[in-house]
Amino acid sequence: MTTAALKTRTEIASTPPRWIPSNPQWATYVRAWTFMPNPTLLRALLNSTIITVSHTLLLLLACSLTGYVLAKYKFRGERLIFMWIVSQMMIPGFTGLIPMYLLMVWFGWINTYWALIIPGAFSAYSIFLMRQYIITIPNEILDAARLYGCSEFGLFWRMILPLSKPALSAIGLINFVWIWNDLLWPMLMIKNREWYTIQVALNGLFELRTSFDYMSLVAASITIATLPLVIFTIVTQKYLIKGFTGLSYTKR
Amino acid sequence: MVEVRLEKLTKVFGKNTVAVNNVNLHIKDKEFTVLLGPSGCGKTTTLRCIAGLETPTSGNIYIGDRLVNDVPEKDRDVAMVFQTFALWPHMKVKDNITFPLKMRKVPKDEIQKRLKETAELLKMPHLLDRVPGQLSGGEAQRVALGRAIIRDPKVFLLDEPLANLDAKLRVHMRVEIKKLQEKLGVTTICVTHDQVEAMSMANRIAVMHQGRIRQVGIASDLYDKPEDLFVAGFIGTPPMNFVNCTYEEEKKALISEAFSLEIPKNLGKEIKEQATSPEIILGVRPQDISLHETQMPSSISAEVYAMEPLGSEAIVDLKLGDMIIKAVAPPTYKTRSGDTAWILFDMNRIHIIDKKTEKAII
Repeated sequence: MTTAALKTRTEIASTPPRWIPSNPQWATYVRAWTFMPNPTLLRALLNSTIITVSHTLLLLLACSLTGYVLAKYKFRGERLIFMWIVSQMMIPGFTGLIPMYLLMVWFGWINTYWALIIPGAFSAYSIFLMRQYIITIPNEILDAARLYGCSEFGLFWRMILPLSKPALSAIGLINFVWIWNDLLWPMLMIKNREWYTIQVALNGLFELRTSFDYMSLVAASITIATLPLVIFTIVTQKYLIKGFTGLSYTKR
Repeated sequence: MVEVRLEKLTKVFGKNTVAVNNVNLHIKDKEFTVLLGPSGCGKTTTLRCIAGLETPTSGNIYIGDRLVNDVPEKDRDVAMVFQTFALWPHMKVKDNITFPLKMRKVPKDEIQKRLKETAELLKMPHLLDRVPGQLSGGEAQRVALGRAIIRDPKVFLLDEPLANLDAKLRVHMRVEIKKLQEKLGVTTICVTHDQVEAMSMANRIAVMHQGRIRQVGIASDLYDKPEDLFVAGFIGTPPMNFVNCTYEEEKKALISEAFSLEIPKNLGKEIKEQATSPEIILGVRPQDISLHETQMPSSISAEVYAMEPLGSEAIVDLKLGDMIIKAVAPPTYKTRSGDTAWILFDMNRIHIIDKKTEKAII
């Protein structure tokens, strides 16, 4: 994909395929930025960034708060709530598509970013993972903080969040990739072309299939659209391995 | 003056798990008191109730003159050192130590001054920029102590403070903790299951069993004058030997399956007056049994079952009928399994316990 963007039209279609372009067309990457008329690639990237970042932050806050309460507080019905959340994980996502669409219509959120940010931010799977992680943080650590003057929210903010970095990174990355790559839901929700996310915008490239170097421009656009994911993975890499290999707190 | 008083303190978990049962305890100002007992006896729960980390089911807790039952943990002015030290792993040592002051919004220069004083007192200025993961057990404990003392609490609570240290460091740290407490003069309550630790550190020891306090006293009182069967068996290493006996008044003797032991008249009188039945338990500490190669007046014949030479002393297991009792002999004592030994009990140091009530008569 990355090299296809650098090939000429004949090179892309050659058989057997040539892996390394004989004459790299670097200009394709420059042209890709203006290839899409509405929205432009930059605008679509910006839309996706706003949605993905705010969705991920909201999701991390929601799942860590809920996970913390379910892991560390005992109250009437706590088990029932946990079981209800776990049961949500067993329902296939697509069965909820139409009810969710109707709900968005009812909220008046169609053609707004709210429809892309809010619903997915309360993910049962993420709450479950956070709860399982936080439950392994020793109670004594929290008791000590309480004794030395920390409020209940302070415990969450000063102790639970910093100690949950590996879990937050892993969950954050999974959701970041998922939301960034999501095509179906944004396509259903957003009608205004200006507000298209990157995946919906790339999908619209098909309309330009008659242009001369269509194939290499599509390859360049997709490569550019993938870059943020690569950067995000590199940044969070330190915690990712820990997060994926075993989601449990270990004393450092 | 900071005294701690527990009045009829009871803590029940769930519907019927009684962890602390009607505990009354008065800890004097500047006193180092140890709650001693086996695992699950309710000592840590008692400590957590004093700290405010558990809510008592009934009873009152006073710190000084203030009833603190409904006072939140952070306002009780107590500091606690946890068994696992409970340092916050994501904070540097200096942040761990100064956290209690930051929470109280103490001015920054005052925090720095007190951090310096505390670090010097605990000999750890070089550790301040490390994170807890880079500390050894002893260092982590000093940090936990530093965090506890930095805000001058009224009461120190120590929950098995030495349990996570290796044997050599434990011996060193128990002296350090005792010296620190003497220096600071803070009322201290420590929980441990280790009697040596308790006896070496405490001004007074409260022995707990099954949620109740069995006896409160100084170390020598608990050792020499245990008030019931549990305390007699729990205090002392190796533990006290117990032999079921019947007191026969005509013979002025204690009759067991393996021997008949004549006792002084005054002892007999006490048993007659205080025992609820002739069925009693004779308690003899291994240290109060002397071993002889030849028969002596009132000596009892026993078969040597095993010998454990420990260097400073030797523990000899003796077979008396179907029972095995332990005796402590000098390190030079030589014997082999199957030999006959003649044993003598030190009659001034034997203990007589009522079998029915399990209370000590003598």
